[in-house]
Parts: sequence; C-alpha cells; structure tokens
Amino acid sequence: MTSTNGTIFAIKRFALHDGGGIRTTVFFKGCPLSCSWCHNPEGLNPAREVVFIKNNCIGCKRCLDVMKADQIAGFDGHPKFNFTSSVDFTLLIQNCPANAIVKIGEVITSSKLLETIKSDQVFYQEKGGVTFSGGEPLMQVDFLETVLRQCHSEGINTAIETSLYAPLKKIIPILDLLDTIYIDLKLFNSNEHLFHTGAPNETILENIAYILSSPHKDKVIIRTPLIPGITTSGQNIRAIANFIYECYPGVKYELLNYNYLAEAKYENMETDFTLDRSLEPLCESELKKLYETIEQEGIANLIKVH
Amino acid sequence: MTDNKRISRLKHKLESNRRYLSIEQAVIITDTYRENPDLSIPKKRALALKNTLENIRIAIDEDELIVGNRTANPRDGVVFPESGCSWVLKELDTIDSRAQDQFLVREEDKETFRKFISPFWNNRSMEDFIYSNFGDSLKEIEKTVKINQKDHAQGHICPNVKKWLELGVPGLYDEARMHLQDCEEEQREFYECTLLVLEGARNFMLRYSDLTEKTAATNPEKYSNLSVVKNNCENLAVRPALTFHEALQSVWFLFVILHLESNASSFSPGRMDQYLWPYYQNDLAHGIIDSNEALELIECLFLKFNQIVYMRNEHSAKYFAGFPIGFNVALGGRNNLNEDGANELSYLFLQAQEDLGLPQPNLSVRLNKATSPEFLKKAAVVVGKGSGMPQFFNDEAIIEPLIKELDIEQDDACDYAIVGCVELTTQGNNLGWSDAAMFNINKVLELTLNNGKCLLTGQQLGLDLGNLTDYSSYHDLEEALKMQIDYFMEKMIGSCESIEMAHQQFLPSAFLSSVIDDCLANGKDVTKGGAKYNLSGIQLIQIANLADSLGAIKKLVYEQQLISAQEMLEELKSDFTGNPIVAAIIKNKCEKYGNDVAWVDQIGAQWALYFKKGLERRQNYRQGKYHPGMYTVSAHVPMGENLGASPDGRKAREPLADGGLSPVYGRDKQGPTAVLMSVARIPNCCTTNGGLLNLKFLPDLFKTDKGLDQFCALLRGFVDLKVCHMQFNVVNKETLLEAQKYPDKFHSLTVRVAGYTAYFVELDQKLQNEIIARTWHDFD
Repeated sequence: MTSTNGTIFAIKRFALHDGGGIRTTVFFKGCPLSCSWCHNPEGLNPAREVVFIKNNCIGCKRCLDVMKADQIAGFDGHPKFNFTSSVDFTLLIQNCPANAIVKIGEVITSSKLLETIKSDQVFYQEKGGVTFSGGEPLMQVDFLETVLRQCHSEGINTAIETSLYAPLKKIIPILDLLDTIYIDLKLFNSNEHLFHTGAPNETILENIAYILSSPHKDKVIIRTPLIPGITTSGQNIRAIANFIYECYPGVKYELLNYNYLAEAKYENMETDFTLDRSLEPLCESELKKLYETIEQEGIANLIKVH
Repeated sequence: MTDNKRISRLKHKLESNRRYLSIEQAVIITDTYRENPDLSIPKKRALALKNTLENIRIAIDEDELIVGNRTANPRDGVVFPESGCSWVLKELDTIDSRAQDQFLVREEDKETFRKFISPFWNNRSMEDFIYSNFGDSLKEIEKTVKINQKDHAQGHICPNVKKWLELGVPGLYDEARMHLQDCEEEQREFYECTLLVLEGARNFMLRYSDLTEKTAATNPEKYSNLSVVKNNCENLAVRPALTFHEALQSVWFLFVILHLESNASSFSPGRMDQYLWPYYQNDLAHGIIDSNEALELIECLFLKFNQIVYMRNEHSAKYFAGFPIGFNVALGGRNNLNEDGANELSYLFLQAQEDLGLPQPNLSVRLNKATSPEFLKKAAVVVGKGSGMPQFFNDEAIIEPLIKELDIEQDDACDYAIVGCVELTTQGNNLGWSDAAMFNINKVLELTLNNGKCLLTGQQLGLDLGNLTDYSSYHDLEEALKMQIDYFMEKMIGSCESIEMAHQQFLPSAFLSSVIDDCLANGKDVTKGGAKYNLSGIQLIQIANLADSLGAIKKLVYEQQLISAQEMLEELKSDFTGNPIVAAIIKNKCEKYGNDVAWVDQIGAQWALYFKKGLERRQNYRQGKYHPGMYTVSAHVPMGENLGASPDGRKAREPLADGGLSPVYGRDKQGPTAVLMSVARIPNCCTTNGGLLNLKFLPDLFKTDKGLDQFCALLRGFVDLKVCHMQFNVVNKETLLEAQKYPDKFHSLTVRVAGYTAYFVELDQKLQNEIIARTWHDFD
C-alpha cells in the first residue's frame, strides 16, 4: 500500500553521519517508542505540534493582540500558552516576529519531498543519498514506500534509521528499495527494554532475525546507543552481540557513544528530560572493553568510533 | 611539518625574521632621477632599475638552494618613490606601531628619507600627480567606490614564464635588439629601455654567482651545494635554464626583478606544474634528480615566496591585511587536449604546501570533470592541514565565459591561471588590471533609500531620487537604484581612466613588458596596451547583503506589508534602535541568500548582471574591456565601516558578508550544499575577473578516510554545479581564541582571510574577531 502524504519534522542537508557520502536526512514525525534519552523528542508525537521557544521571545506582546481566550494561560514576562487547545494557532505563529511560537511537523507530499531530496543530488555522487530517520520512519511505512520507490527510480541511494518496531509484513516490501539499513538495538532484555523505551523488544528481535537471514543481511548495520548505566553493561552488549552473530556471523555492528545534544531540545518541547544530566560519554578504555566483549562473541565487522 | 633539516632551518629563520622599512632602493632611484634630469621617464625608470640590479645590497643564506631577494634582509618593506611615498612621510613615525602590518624603522633611515628622498619626490611621484589632478573626483566617490592602484604599480599579472625559461635573459635581449634594428621611431625608446633592464638582469645574476662563490670559499662544509647554486646563477646569465634546479632559480630571479621594477603585489607564477614539467621530466630521465630532491627545491622556492612582502599605507593595510603578496600558483586543470593536466609535479607542489603550511605561495588547484580521484584526494588532505590552501577553481565555470565574454582565444582560456587572490587571467599575455576598483553596491542602495544622503554623516553623496517612502512600488525602487548605480559607475570609470593615464606616464615597465606577449612584437609598453589582452576588472561588493536587503524590502515592505516603508526607513536611520519588532521580522520572516531559495538568490543574480552590463558598455584606457569580479579580499570589513544600517538587518559599520559570493555569516542555515546551490545561481559571466566563496570546516572532517571522501564529494558537486571558486578555513574556533590570547604561542598559525592566507596573530583584532565569528560548518 502506498500513501502520498506524510508528516515530517526536519530535513537536514549535508548530513555526514547517517551513511556514506553526502546525504540528506529526512526526519519522520512519530515514534512508537519513548526512550528516556531520545535525541529527537520533537519526533515522538505523530501529530503536528506548536511549541513556544522562550529564548527567541523578544517580549513584544504581539501575540496578546491575536490570541484566542483558550490559547493563553497567562503572561509572566513571556506568554504562557495552552498548546493542548484545539484552536488553530496559525495566526499566532504568523504574528510572532521572533519565531518564538513555532510549528513542529509539516504534512508533505511525496513528490514535494522527492524534489527536496533531489536538491542535493549533485553532491550524492556514488556513495551519498537520502537517509530516512525520525521518529520512526516505519510508523508511516506506506508513505515511506512511496518515497522510496521514487528515489529508487531516480537512482538515489537510500538508507533508513529504524528500531524495527513494526509489523514484519509492513517491512518486507521496502527491503528491496533500501541500500543501507541502520537498526537501533538498545537493550536485549525485554523487560528493561520495556522500562526504558516503553515497549518490549520481541518484535524487534524477530524482525532483526528475519532480515539477517534474508538476502538483505549485508545492508544491515546494527547500532547500540551507549547510554551510561542503561545500555552500557557488558552483559547487555554481550547479549546483543551474541544474538546478532547467531543470526548472521558477518553482521556489521556499531556502538554510538553518548552525547549531550538532546538536553536543550527538551526545554523547548515541554517534555521532561528524565535522564541524569551529569552523564558523560564513555572514555576510551571503557569503549575498548566493550569492543573486546563484542569481538569475543565472534563479530568481525565491528565499526569503531574514531 | 617537514623532516628536512635544511628546510626546517630556513623556515625557522624566516619566521624569526624582523621586518624593517627599507629606503635603500629609494636612494638608488632618487640618485638616478637626480643625476639624469634630461632623460624621459621611461629611460629614467629603466636606468633606475638597472642601477638597482647592479648596486643594491644582496645577501644569501648558506642553506639556500634558491637565492635572490630584493632586499638583503628578508621581508623588508620597500619605499618606492616613483609611484608614491607621501604616505611614508606621514606614517614614518607610526608604521612601527600601527594596527596592521608593522615595520621597524631605523632612525638614520628616517632622516635620509625626510631630508633626501621625500623633498625630491614632492610633486614628482605618480601619487602626487593623481591627487593634485584627480583628488577631488576620487574623494567625491570614495565612500561608495574604492579606486585602487593610486600610489603603487599595478602588478597583478602572470608573466610568460615559459618564454623566460626557454629564451633566458640572452634570448630576450637578442629579440629586443633585433626589433630595435628595424623599428619605428616611436618604438625605439621602448626597445632601448628593454635592453637596459635586461643588461641589469644579467648583471644581477652574475652578482649572485660571485657572492655565492665567496660564501662557498669560507664555508667548506656547504661547498658542494653552494657551488651548484653559483653555477646556476652564472649559467642563467648567459643561457636559458636546462635543469629543474636552474629553472626554479630562473623563475625566482624573474619574480625578484619584477618586484624590484614595480614594487607591486601579485606577480603570479601561474601554472608551474605545466611549464616546469619538461625540465623535471628531462632531469628524471637523465638521473639528474629524484622526487625527494625536487621536493626540497620546491620547498626552497616556497620559502623564497615568503621573503617578499609588500608594504602598504595604513589605510590600504587595513583592506589587505597580512601581506597578500599574491604569488599565486595554479596546479592541474585542463590542458589544450581537454584532459586534466595534473602530473607528478602537481603532487610535489601539494606536498610542499602540506610540509610547510606557509602563507605563500597562494596555492590554487584547478578542478574539472576530468580531475583524477587521486589528485582530488591529495588536495583534500592538504586542505585538512589547515593552511586554507589549496583553494579551488572550476574549469567548467571559468573557461567558457572567458571565451564568450572576453573574446579570449580557446587555447589561452584553457591555459588560464590566477593572479593575486582569485583574479582570473590568461598567462603571459594579459594586463588584466584586475583590481581597478571596488564598487560598494550596498552603499548605492543606502543612498537610493535616503535621498542620496549618507546614513552615517548626512552628507549628500549621491543623486536625490527620493527615499523609501517615496517609491510606490518595488519596481519604482529598482528603477531608482539603477539610476543611482549608473551615476556612480560613470564617475568610477572616469576615475579608472585617470589612474591608468597616470600609470602610463609615470610607471612604464620595460622589464615586465619584455615578458608579456605581445609587447616586444608591438614595441609598446605593457601600461600602454602592448599586451595581447587588455582588461580591467571591477569588483561588485557585496551581493549577499544586497540580495538580503532587497529581498527584505520586496517581501516585507511591498508584498506582505509586515513593515511599512516609514518604519523601515526609521530603523535604518536609528540603526535599529527604535522598534525591535522590525529587526525581528527582518531576521525571521524573510528568506536569505545562501539557503538555496531561488527568489532571493535571483535578486543577487539580477543585480550582478545589471552591473556586468553596465561595465560591458565601456572601454578601458587601453581599448580593452571592463568586466566584473565578486571578491573583497578583506575589504568587507572597512567597506562595512562606510555603510549605515542596511535593510537586511545589518547594523551600521558592521562588516559585510565575507569573500564575495559567500552568504552573510550566520544566515546560511542549510549547510554548505545549499550555499553552493545559491552561489550557482549567480551567473558565471559576472565573475570573469574572479569570484570568491569561503566555507569553514572543523578539522575533524579531514581525520578519517570517510570524511575525506565526503569532502571530495562536495568538491565534485562544486565542479558539476559550475561554481567558479571555493576555499576553506579548517581550524577550530577554540584554537583561534587561544591564539588571540597567547599570540606568541601561535606565531605560525595561518588562516584563510579571503582569497589569501595570512598569519593569524599578525591580523588586526577586528579582522580576527570577524574570522572567528563566521559560520563554521559543523556537522551534528
């Protein structure tokens, strides 16, 4: 099934970390998981949202002239908005000169999205292309399939960043259309997975097992984000490494070290950042230990942080 | 870093050298003029050069494999009275402490200068002639148009090095003598002058031969190297170069003599990997040299390129901070067969840059669709080392417009090189006069919005065509802007002609003419139009601010009426201190150049074309064409200082966008690919004199093979998009901040300013801050 409309929240050109070459990364809005460390909290909610960015506000109070009674809850130097209101915020957004009231997410047609992806086609050369990320692109798999088909016929290299938390029958039709598949596997223990991401991982593991035994297995790179104290235990990494090696001994595996970039985003999203703010990326010796663990499990295609 | 001990020693000596103001040549020139009052100016000039070549103090270093300099102490600032030294008199006591490019001055030199040199040249120099005859008209437009070359020779030229190497001094001498035998009467003097200076050139080489011989005699452990150097100098005095080593020595002599004749910036060697290739190949075939020895020689030459600095007056030093002497070397590029010409020498030149990381030469790589992946990657590796070089030129964007717009023959166009920073030229046959003037179109817009009055001073500078509130439509504003542009262009062209006339009269250059085709054949000095091509380049400053300003007016004032004309004008007058909402709307509610938004980029393209068409209608003083360039060097800072608040939200006196084609810093939000898409919308016919795009990257990108591949993909995209030029600053912001704090520790840190590389710690603090503030293309 295909769909011509989707909701995305960002397009990043000149993306260098989401695959080979120069890429354009498209961020799909909406995610079935809710990881406590999520880097893109603005991608969690599948619906479009309106947010207030306090740092942008210049205190001009223009919003007070056009607001509706149920949109604003008060004024304390800055306006306090009631974004749960069902009223349209378009006028407020237009009238805020400072872009302090902004919409997150836009509905886009596949042809418009393709046009944007093609803006940088001249830079893709052999290795570059488009990466679909999110949120979870598989949450809009019909739209994704439409766009992938168009990219495919244009000869644009495609990659996806996914948790694979989706029904397998929805995933199978797009595998042929993908050149690289980055799969985020955070925790091997399903209970822990449920606790930290809001969902159990059986579906994910089944899907991984399927793809790693399919003709598409060499397109796959399994990635584990290193969240200190949550995903970084030797036990977790060993279990993941063991599982994916059993599925396919030639599997590629990569650890992504922790970074702080997410925190500021939470302030804008009125979502609590529940993670400990004093967390630090893993040091070299800690990384080395985990690499050894992985290699002990037999994995040869280990992509190391440089 | 190099592990060659000789090169390390020479480099250390270069970097610990102290710069002095030198009046030695000024004394020789003044004596010559004083003793020969009846000779014509061309004869006096030629004789003064000959006397200089035969008498100026020379020095060599025992480690050198390439010798020669125009002052005995490297990096001295030469006082050159024929072009102008009234500024020296004014600045003699401050030049050792001025903000930019200081020189130490010996007390006895000050006295000689004040008593002997300065009085003699009063009303005799070109500068005095220009100021007393055209001073008022230059001043009238100075806030809008900066006319260059008022107190120094033009430079900015690629001599015919190939011919110089093939004929040598004796061959050129014979050619001039033959022409003299059956020339027209009005050509006679030109040939006589040429013979004089070539005699001087030969004697100059012989003096180095003698000095090297003497040094060798007292230096037994360096004897073998020095005797090679000695023989090279001696041979070059009597015959053309035969070996690679001789060829490099010969090239250096050529450039030293050109500097002695003109004291100008940007005599550029051009495509060295091409014209030196036969010498290198021959040496390899005969076992005379191997690639390591060739590399050492090239590095010796690179060090020499850093020994000549050009001393500018305080004002000019502000515009061209950090001694951009402009020894521009172009590597690779299409040859006549439409294949890329990169060869083994091209790699050695890149290697020399990687080893040394010095500000000179200004290393350029010519890219095209046929550039090999290996050469591209080597260039990328060198860029990643952080010296800002090589910079990249795009054959696919440059060759065709040279042919179509400037009537340059195809072979000459394919053989193009770069002079100075980014100025395009054919090699060996072209007086491009590429820095005739800079036209601040943003100032013209300011005057169009404000009754012709300067926003900073209230002075009436331009035509009073009304103000923003008087223009009932955007179209009306455009029509007024055109009139105002036309008004200033007319005045600018008049001034350019005056300057060229003065150069013909005061600075005929026989030696330069002997290495520019077809001066010898025409019997005509290069300043008089003896060259095969005679162009004048004028820079349009600065398209990013103009596009953003007009974009804001078009969309916000006329189309969406989010700001009234009255509000906009008031904010410009009050420097955005009135209503913060207006500034916020300009910042947030209007698209900006550099983000791949067609309509705003096209405003830039439209006005660049208008300017180009205005130039096209005129002919320069040598019956050649005027044509546009889009680069500022570092003038975006002082040109911004002349400008009031602008409708793009820029505050009064703040710098303009850097580079020439670059977006205003901080306004390009979509990354470098979007910047390139925007720049690609500016037609290449508007940058036949050169364009300049700055991009900045953090060093991390260059640390992995994947990163280098990604960088190469960007370069390939640049080629396919037909963008004319691109260069990179690759250095951490933190490093620059540290260097500001502890300049002593960062003495050798070089950064890309704009079209040239300079030592960071030698730059004015304002320019340093500006470099730090520019966007770094971070990734995630």
